[in-house]
Amino acid sequence: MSQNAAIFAETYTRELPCDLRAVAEMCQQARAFFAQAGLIPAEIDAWEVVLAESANNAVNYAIQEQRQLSIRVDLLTTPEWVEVRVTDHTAGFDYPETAELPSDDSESGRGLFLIQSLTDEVRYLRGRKENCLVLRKRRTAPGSAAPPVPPTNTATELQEATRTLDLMTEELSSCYESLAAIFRFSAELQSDSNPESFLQRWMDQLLSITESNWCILRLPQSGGRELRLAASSNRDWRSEPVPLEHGSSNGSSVEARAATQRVDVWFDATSPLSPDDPLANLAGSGCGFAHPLFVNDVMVGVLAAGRHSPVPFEAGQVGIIQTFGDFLGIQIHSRQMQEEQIRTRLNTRDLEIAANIQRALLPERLPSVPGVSLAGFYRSAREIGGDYYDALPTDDGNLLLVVADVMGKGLPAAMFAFMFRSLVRARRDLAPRPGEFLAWLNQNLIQELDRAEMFITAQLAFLDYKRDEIRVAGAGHPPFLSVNAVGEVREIRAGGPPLGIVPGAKFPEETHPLAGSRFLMFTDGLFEARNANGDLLGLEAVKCNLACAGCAAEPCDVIQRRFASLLQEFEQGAPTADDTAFIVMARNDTPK
Amino acid sequence: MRTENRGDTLWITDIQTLTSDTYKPFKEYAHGALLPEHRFVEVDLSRSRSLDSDGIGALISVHKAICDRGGRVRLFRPEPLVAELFKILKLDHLFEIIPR
Repeated sequence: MSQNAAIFAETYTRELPCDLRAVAEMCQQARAFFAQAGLIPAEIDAWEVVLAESANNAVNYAIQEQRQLSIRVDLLTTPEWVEVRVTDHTAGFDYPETAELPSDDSESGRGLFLIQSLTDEVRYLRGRKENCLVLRKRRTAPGSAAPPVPPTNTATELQEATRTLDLMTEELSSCYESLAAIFRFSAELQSDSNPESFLQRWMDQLLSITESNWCILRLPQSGGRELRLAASSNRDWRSEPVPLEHGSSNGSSVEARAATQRVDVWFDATSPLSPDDPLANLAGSGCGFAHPLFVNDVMVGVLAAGRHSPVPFEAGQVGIIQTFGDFLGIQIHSRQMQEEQIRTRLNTRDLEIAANIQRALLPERLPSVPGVSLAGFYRSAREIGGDYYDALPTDDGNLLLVVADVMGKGLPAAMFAFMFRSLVRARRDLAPRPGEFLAWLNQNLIQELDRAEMFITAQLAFLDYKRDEIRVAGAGHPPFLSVNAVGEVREIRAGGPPLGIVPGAKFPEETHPLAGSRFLMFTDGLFEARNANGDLLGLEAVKCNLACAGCAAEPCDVIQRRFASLLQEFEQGAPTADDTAFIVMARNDTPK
Repeated sequence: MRTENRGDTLWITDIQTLTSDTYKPFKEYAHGALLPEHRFVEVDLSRSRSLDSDGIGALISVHKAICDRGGRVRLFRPEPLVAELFKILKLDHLFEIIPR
């Protein structure tokens, strides 16, 4: 016991064995010291509780060789303050800023709460070889019973300051090692395109810095239902995935327990790994721990590290492993976010390519065919689809009209529409028999469509001027409509199944006179348009408008605008769910 | 430490300390002394100089055992700080505390 006149302070220091009885004895000696320093009984009682809780923790958390090392208790009183320091040699722990109370029926876990409740200030210095819990509380009756002050003991004061500085240096040293390595790895990560080689170097460095014998990184897979090995310091070590059972104890695996309970899980000779633990063959009878990696409350992995010997990690080494792990977790999370961004960009690029293909599908302008007028219309939805129309003059001077709709959206639909268009253009010699043409298209597309689980609805109409007739065949497509000068609308539903469904399917044809009629071929986007209330435009509205156009003898371009306006007015800005394509055709010798 | 059977009550007294180094014997002794007819446990803390969180854990253990029988633990004449600890830990509703 010493007294320091310069700061009116009294000090007491005791090195005690790592033993609960020694703590109890020390508490009694501390009571005597506090009494001599003039603390009132209530203060002494409170400090005894605080000292007991602090020193008991140091005893209870010590493992193996740590129990051979002493616990140091320093007491300091001034007229204003009491300060207590408890220094231990355990691995230390993450000191909570605010301790939480356990449930009422829990028989443990209240020590830190008591310490925080009975003191004014708590600091936990986690060092490389020792940890120091610093507790301070303002005195109730400042120095009222302070004894006479003896001369200054400068040597003691200097010794105390030196110890504090040593402790801080150790702490800073371990922080520096962590920070230096983290900066180095950050720089490497920027320039290293191979994450596997980065992880391997990262693990080698971690082993070297922390004197570990092994470390393992697992990442969550299968929607977080299991942890799969991502990297191992032992390159030959293999392990099956570790299942994660949230809400259960995940008893056999320390890694699973760390991930689901969100805490570091330790193992050593007193708390050994289960023989079923996947780490058991790697860790042997050594010691180590599993540290869960969380970023923004998302579990991104588990890092386990250990030694073959029973010598536990020092507090600073534990801190480095934890810091490295947390840093790696952030890197993993960041990389996952980058990959997600790339996927989004690729999807956007897919849509751009699909839009380009879609534009290439449509004829720049419809062919100028004597005696025939034509008008086409195409409108894309939010996602690019596979709607398509075309008008192809044939070698014999006639004309083939084509409308098709590939099931699906995006790049696959656009690709199949492109294939369909290429086949149609390549074999326009088959145009005079549209039913047979569809059968040929079905035969040539069915394998690819079947593999992609897609199909195409299509309609072909061959305008035979010599016979003054139009021959129509469809494959699962909406009806072909004609309207005469008195507004009579006729549906031609000739056809078979969609292309790509039935091998060897037949596609019947239907013939209609050309003269005196206007014709409309379209995809389902025209009559399946919906307004903001979800109402469907319907085929009857299409037929009704076509009847009006027929009565008014509207030219093709006017009919085209009529239907474009019809869609616009009906939808009133509601998002377009499906592509729409249609083509209008009429003989020029009919009145316009 | 001493116990007495008082009908439906187990009386425990002469407890010097209830701390990390003594709570285990207390716990075993108290549980061992509980008889089927006991509905209450009364703990005389008037001579208890020290009590810490482990000691409180031991009292909670006895409380759970007696609660299962529909009974209660009463703590007699604890030191002011000991009574205060139960308040700090929000456990004063579990135990009936009879002050000095």
